[in-house]
Amino acid sequence: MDLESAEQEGNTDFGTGPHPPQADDLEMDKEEFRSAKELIQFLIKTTRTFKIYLYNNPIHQKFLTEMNAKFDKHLTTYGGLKIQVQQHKLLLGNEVLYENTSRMESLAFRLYIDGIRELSFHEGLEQGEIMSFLEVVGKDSSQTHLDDDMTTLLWEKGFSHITYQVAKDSAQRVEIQAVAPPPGQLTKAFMEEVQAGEEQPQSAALTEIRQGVRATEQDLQNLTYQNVYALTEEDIAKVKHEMQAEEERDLLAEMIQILTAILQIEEDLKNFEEVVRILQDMLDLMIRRGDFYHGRRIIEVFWELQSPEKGLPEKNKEALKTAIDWAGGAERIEKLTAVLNLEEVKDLDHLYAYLILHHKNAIDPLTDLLGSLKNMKPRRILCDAMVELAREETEILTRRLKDRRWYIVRNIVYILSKIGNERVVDDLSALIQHSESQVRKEVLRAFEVLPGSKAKQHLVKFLMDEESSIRILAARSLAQSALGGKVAGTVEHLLQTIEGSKFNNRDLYEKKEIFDALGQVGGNVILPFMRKILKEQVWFKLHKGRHEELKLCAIIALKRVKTPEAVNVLKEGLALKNKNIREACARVIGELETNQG
Amino acid sequence: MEGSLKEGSKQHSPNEKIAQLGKRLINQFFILLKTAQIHDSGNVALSQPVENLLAIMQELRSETGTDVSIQVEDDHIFVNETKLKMDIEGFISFIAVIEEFKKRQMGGIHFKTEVNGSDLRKFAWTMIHLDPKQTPPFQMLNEEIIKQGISSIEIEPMETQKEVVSEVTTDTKQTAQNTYMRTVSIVSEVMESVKLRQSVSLRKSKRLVQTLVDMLLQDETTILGLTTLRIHDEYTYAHCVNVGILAMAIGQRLGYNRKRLGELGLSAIFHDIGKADVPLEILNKPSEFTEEEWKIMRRHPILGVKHLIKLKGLDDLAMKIIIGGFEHHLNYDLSGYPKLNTKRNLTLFGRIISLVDCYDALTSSRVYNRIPFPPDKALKFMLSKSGKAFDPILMKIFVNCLGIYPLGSLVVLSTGEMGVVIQTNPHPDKADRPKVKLITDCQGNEKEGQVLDLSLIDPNTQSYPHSITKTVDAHKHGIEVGRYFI
Repeated sequence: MDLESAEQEGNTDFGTGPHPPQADDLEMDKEEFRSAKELIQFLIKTTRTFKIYLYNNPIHQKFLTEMNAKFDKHLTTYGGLKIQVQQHKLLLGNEVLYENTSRMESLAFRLYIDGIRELSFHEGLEQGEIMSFLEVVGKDSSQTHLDDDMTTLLWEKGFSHITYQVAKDSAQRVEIQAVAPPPGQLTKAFMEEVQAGEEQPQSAALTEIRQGVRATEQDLQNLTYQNVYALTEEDIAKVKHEMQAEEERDLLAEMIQILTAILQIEEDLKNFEEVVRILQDMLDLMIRRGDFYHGRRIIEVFWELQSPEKGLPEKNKEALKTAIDWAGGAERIEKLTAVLNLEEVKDLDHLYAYLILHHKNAIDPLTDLLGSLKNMKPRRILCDAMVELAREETEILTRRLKDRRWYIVRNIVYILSKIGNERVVDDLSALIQHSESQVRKEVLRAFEVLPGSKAKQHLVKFLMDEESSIRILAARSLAQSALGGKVAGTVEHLLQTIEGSKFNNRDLYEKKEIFDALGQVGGNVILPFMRKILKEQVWFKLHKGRHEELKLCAIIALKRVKTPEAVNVLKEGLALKNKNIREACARVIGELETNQG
Repeated sequence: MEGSLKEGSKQHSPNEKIAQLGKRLINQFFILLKTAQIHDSGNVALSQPVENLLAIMQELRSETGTDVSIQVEDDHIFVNETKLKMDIEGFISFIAVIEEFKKRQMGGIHFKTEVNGSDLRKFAWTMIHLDPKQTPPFQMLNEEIIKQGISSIEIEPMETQKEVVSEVTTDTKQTAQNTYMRTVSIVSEVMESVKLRQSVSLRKSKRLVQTLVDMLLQDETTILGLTTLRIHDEYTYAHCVNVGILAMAIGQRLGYNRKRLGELGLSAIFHDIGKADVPLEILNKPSEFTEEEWKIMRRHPILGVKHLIKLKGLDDLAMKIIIGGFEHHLNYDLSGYPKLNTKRNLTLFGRIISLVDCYDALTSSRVYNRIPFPPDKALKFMLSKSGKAFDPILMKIFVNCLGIYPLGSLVVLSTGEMGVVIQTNPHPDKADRPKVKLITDCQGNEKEGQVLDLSLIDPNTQSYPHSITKTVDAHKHGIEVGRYFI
C-alpha cells in the first residue's frame, strides 16, 4: 500500500478523528489502560535500545527480560491486549495509548502504512515471540527489503500469541464467472459416456502422449496403490534428507552454476555477452560483500569456459578474456580497498585464490591497493598473490620501485624477493641508500634470498648503513652467505668494519654481533687479530671500559672459531690481569671442553 | 470495521509447540498400537512407547494446562484442540491413527491427568484387539474399557459425518476466489513489468501468496479446487497461479514451514516469467508450434533467469524464484530444456514446479497440447514418466494430494450417476474412494450437488454403495468442472 492510498483509506475507513464513546470504552478499567500504556511505552523504548545494543549485551538482555515481565503481567491480569492501529495512534478501546506524528519514527504509522489495523497479544506470549516481534517492528524501513513490509515479515514469523488484522483492498474484489454447460449438455454427455464411447481422435502431436496413457493404464492394472501412492520409510527418509540439504544449499553457487550452463548454451554473441555482464555484476556485488569465495568461482568460470573442450566460439572466448581483464582493472581492484580495510575481513581464506586468477593487467592496480590497505593480514595475502601474478612480469613491479610511498616500495621488494628472480638485483641495488630504513631492510633481506653471488656482494654495503639493526643483519647475512661460499672477502670486510673509526662508538650488542659473524667465517685466520685485542694494554682509565668490551667480543669470536688453536688463545687469556676477562676465558674454555667431551 | 478486515495470523498459526508435541504424541500412540498388535499388554516391549507417551502427555499438560485429548474430525487430527498438520514425516502414523479411529467410529480419546502406564497398556491392547467389525464398534470398545477398569482414559463417539459442502462457508470460498483472481492479476502485472523492463516489486505477490498459504493450511480442498477452473482470458497467468497452488500443496505434504511454503509458492507462480518475452501470437497460438516457434518457447527458462537477476538482484527469495524458473522444464533425468552440458542436482523447488507445471499444462486447454487431458489421464501419463521425467517420490506425494481420481475428475459411478471429484481421500488404501459431487442422476438428468463419500460402507450390506466405474473427459463434452468448486 502506498502512502497516498494509506492516507486516503485513513480518511475514509479508519479516520483519525475522535470516536464516539462506546459502553465498553466507558467501562474500561483505568488500571488496564495505565498498564497497557506503560507496556507500549516500554516497547518503544526497547526497540530503540535494541538498535544500539547487540543481543549479547547485558542491557539488551535486561530490556528483553523486563519487556517479557511486563507483557506477562498485563496478559495474565487482563487476558490479552488488543490494540487498534490508526495512522499516527495506537488505541486501546477508544483511549490513545501512543501517538507520534513523525512518519519516520512513529510505530503506529509504520504499522498503519503496511496495512495493519489491529494488533493483539494473547496470554502465553513467549519471550522468543517478543524478541521476533521487536525484531520486525524495530527494523528501519530503509533496511527492509523492497519486497517486505511489516505484514509479510510478521506473517513469516508465524506467531502463536500475536495476531493482527490487515486492511483488505476492497477495490480489487473479483468474482469468478464459471461457465455453466448449455441446457441438456450434461444429459448428452451422460448418454455418450454411460454407453462407454471410445476416445475422440486426437491431434498428431498428442498421439505419443495418448499412447503413453493407454500403456500406463495397462501397466497400472498390475500396480497396487503401494507403487504409485504409498510412501515407504525409505522415501520419507530420502525426502527429509533432501529437504535438509536444500536448507543448506548455496544459492549463490547455484546461480553461478546456472549462468555457467546458460553461457554454454548461448552461441549468439549478444546473448552470450549479456550473461557475461550479469556475472560481472554479480562479481561486483561479491567484491562489495567481501565474498571472495563466490567471486573466485565467477572468474574460475571465465577461465574454465575458455578451455578447448568446452568448444565455445572464439568470439565468445574473447568476451570471457575481456571479462577477466575487466575484473583486474583499476576500478574493480580499487573496490577491494573498502572491504579489506574492515576491522574484520570475513573471507580471507579465499582472497588469495581469487586474486591469482586475474590477468597481468591487475598487477599495477594491485600495487596501488597495497598502499591503501591498513590491515597486515590482507596485505600479506595480497603480496603472496602478487608473487604468483607477477612471476613472469617483474618489470611491471620494478617500474614501481621509484614510488614515493616507501611502504609500497617495501612491499614490492618483498614480492620481488619472493619471486626470486636474479634479474631484479640491479633494480634493487638502487635502493641500498633509500631514505627509509624499512625499505633498506627489505632490500637487504631480498639480497639475502635472491639467487646468485651478485646479490650477496651487495650485502657488504649494508655494513656501512646508518642504522645499527641493518648493520647487524648485514653481518649475519654475510656470515651465512660466506659459509655457503657465496661471498668472497667477508672476513676482510668484517675486519675493516671493526677497525674502522666508528666501530668503537657502536653499542656492545652490535659489536658482539659483528665479532660473532667474524668468528663464524674467520677460522684460524683471525686468531692473531683476536690475540692482539686480548693482550692489548690500556693506559688510560678513560678507555678501559671500551677495551674490556672489545676483549669480551674477541672471546665471543674465539668461542665461535672453537679450533684447538682458538682454545690456546683463550688459555693465554687466563694469564691476563683483568679478572673479568680471565673469568670469561675460563668459562668459554670450560664450555668448549664440555661440548667436545 | 470488522467487515473490511481479514484475519491475520491467529487462525492460521496453531501453537507450534503444541503442534510439535501433538505430532510426537500421535507418532508414539501409533507405535504403541503397532506394538500392542503383536505383544501382550504386560509385555516389556510396550514399556518404551508407554513411557514416551506419558512423557509427552506431561509436556502437553504443562504447556496447555489441560488434560490431553486426541480428536479425529473428517481426516484431521486435533491434539488438545490444535489441528495437526499432516506432513511427510507424520504421514504414516497420522493416516493409521485416523483409520483406527474411524474403524471404531471413535471421535476422540481423553487422557485424564492421572493416566498411567498400566491403563495405557490395557487401553492400547483392548483397542487394537477388539474386532472393529463387531457392531456397534464404538459401544463395544467403550464397554470393554469399563470392563477392564481403565478409569483414566475415556473415549467419545465420532460425530455424524457432515456434508462436505456445508463445511466450507460461502465466505471462505469467496475469499479464496478473490485471492485467486487477485493473484492472477498480480502475475499479469509482474509479467507486464518484466516485459517493459520496469522494476518489479513482489510485495503484493508475497502478501497474496501468504494468504494462499494460510488458506491451503486451513482448507486445502477449496483452494485446490480453484485450480480446476479454466480461465481462458487469462490462461497464461491462471496457469502460473495454479502451479503455485499445486506446488504449495506438495510443499505442505513435505512439511515445509509457512515461510518455505510462501517461497515455494512465489517461485512456482513466477516460473514462467521468461514468457514475458515470448510474443503473444506464439503464446496464444491456437495450432501447434513450428520448429522456430518451439525454439523461441524453449528459451523462456533462460530469459526468466536473465530478467529476474537484472530486475530483482540476488536476495534469497529472488534466487529461489530464478532457480525454480530455470529448472521447471528440466526433467528428473536432466533431459528436457534448456539442454545442459554439465550435470546438476535439481532443487526440490524445481522438481516440484516441473511436476505440477506439467500436470496443469496437460489438464489445461492451452499450453503445448491443445486438447486438455482429463485429470486422471494426465496423472496416469505422468506416472508413466515417474523416475524419468519426474521425481518418483514427489510424484507419489502429488498423487497423494490429488488422489488417483484427482480433484475435478468427471466420473461415472456404479449407480449410473455422474459426478465431479471434489475431495480426495487421504487414506492410501482408499485412494480410489474420494468425495464426489453428483451432477446427474442415473437417468442423466441434471442434479444439484449432493456430495457422496465413496469411502463410506453401507452398514447393512457391509459393502460400498458407490464406486467409480469410469472417468469422463469433461472437456470433450464442454463441461467446465471448475464451476462445482465455486
